Amino acid sequence: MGITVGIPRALAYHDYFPLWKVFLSSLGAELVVSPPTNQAIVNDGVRLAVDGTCLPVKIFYGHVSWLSKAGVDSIFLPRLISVAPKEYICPKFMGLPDMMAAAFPNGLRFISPVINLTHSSRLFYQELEKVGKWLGCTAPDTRRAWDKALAAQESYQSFLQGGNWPAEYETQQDKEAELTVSRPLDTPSLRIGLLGHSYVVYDKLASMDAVNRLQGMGVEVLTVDMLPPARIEAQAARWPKRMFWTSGRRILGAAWEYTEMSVDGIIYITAFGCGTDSLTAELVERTVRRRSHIPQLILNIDEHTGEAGVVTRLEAFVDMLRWRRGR
Amino acid sequence: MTNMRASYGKHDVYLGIDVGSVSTNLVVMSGAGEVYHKEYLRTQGRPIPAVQAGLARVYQKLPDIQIKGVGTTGSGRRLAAAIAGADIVKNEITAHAAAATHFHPDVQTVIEIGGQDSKIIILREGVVTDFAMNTVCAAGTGSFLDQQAARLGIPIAEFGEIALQAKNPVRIAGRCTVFAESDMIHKQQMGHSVPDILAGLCAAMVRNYLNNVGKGKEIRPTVLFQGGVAANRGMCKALEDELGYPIIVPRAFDVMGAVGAALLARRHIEESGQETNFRGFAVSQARYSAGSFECSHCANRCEIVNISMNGKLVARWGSRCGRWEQDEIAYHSPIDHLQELCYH
Repeated sequence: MGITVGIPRALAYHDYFPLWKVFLSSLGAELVVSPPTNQAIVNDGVRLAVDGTCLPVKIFYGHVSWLSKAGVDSIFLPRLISVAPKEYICPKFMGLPDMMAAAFPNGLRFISPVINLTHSSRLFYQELEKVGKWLGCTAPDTRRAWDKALAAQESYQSFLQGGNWPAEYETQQDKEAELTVSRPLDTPSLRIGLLGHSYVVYDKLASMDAVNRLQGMGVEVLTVDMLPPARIEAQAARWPKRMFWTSGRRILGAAWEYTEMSVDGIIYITAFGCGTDSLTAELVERTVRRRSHIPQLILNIDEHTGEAGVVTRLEAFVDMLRWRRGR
Repeated sequence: MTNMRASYGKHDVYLGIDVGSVSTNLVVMSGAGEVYHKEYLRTQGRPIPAVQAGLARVYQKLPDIQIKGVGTTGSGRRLAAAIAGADIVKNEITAHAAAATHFHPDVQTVIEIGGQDSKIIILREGVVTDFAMNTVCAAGTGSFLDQQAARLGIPIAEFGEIALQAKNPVRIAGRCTVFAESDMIHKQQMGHSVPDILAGLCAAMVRNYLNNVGKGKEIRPTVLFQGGVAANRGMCKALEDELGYPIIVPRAFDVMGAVGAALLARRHIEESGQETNFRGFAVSQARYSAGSFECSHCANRCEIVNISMNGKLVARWGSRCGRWEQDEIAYHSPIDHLQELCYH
């Protein structure tokens, strides 16, 4: 029986779970993943979180709390600083291991390799080897596990580019995983491009199930992950100044790509208080308006459970798109 | 042969119900699209009795009417539909836009400021092309004006007239109501007159509205100002000053949501040829109760609401997974031909 390692189903999980799962299980760890966000997890997270964090970070606290109650030995929580050269991610990710260590002082061990691709790859592999060593594996074993993990990650990303959803990938891998996206039977009559961080868009509770609601109204929903990365990159490169946040760059590129694809509408789901979105959403809104007549909706989410506001906006937006189409 | 009837019976009417955070409005519209009767009630945190009282009043004044269709809108639209029995349930944006184009086909901008939310709707050639609603902050809505009027001991109905008497409106921060209030108190202690302070508040509210809700929107005349706050002439003047041209306050400005709901109901009934789901005016005397329980099926612990009429369950909702949902009415109805409705 190996060491049990918990993985919180929150934040970067939505982008990297195949990578993490394959890497850790190849190193012999027993994995425990927290369930999809539910209200109890949110409540727990809100209670534990430090002041002034966004809803996704509060949700992260809740997932770690769930894992600690489930009795895992350790939690995999990489310190993500940069996942692409000359790009950074939201600084809260950098501080997550410290935030968690402060919130869970007793006995929970955090495995936190530093992921900073602006540094040399030698330092990066050293960080991975530390993880391998802790799980009792040699450096070559760790390298092999990493290569395997990268292959899994690639297959995940091409799966998403095929117009699929993360939950569907998980169902393929694990029959017990809950399928959170059901597809409508009718042919959708409208196409909406969704923007936003993966941990907002793919978290059914955080996004108040916006994806399912839209699909239920007969809308085909696209995500940033469904677009070819080369197109996103090419579009983002047209930007006069380099956007140095990885997800902001992807969102901007996707917004431009959506306008060229002539989607019927664009919806940007953003968590209240998100620092990077405060700039990205503004840039997206302005450039899309300058380049096209595609209607946009910015959906602000926070920890309130009243769904009326979100439902009203989504319904009104879809009504408007139908109305415009019928003219 | 119904479509052969040359004119609607005088008493064949459509009912629109708009249950908002502050007011509950009912409108009776003729088949020809005229507002026959309107009722404006305060919701006072109890939407079910408000809808019932509204229905009772309508029946008292117009006992002979024959309701052909019912539409509901507003944040309490689902609740209103469960109580009255509705043919169509629509969001406020679509309802307000339908009402605006009905009276003013050339409208290009609708400014709507209600009790707890405010919105802007941009229309071109009778079609909604863009809209926005206020986000998490309720600054600049009717509730704040209500609260400030109460603080100054002024009836809200006189607020606007007093603001119009201003000679030198003072500058007040409008970004946040907390700051606006402290600014107002500061100016009052400095000795500025009440009219100047109220006019300054109106200007601050308008600036806040245009900067937040109206941000990036192309506001073009004809501009319609609707919602309860449009009754405030001080706000109308502040809007006109800021925009630089006159705006129109429609006659039914305070019940435009209900008007839109009635129009959409008429369209729906005429197109589908269906009988109305209206439960009848007797529901105003029925015993409605709303109970709730926490579902323990999963960790979401959803709050499930039961609406019952005379002890019999008529609607139930609140579950994320859909296991408890029971709605008798169609929630998403098509509006593909809405623009025809507006030009009828």
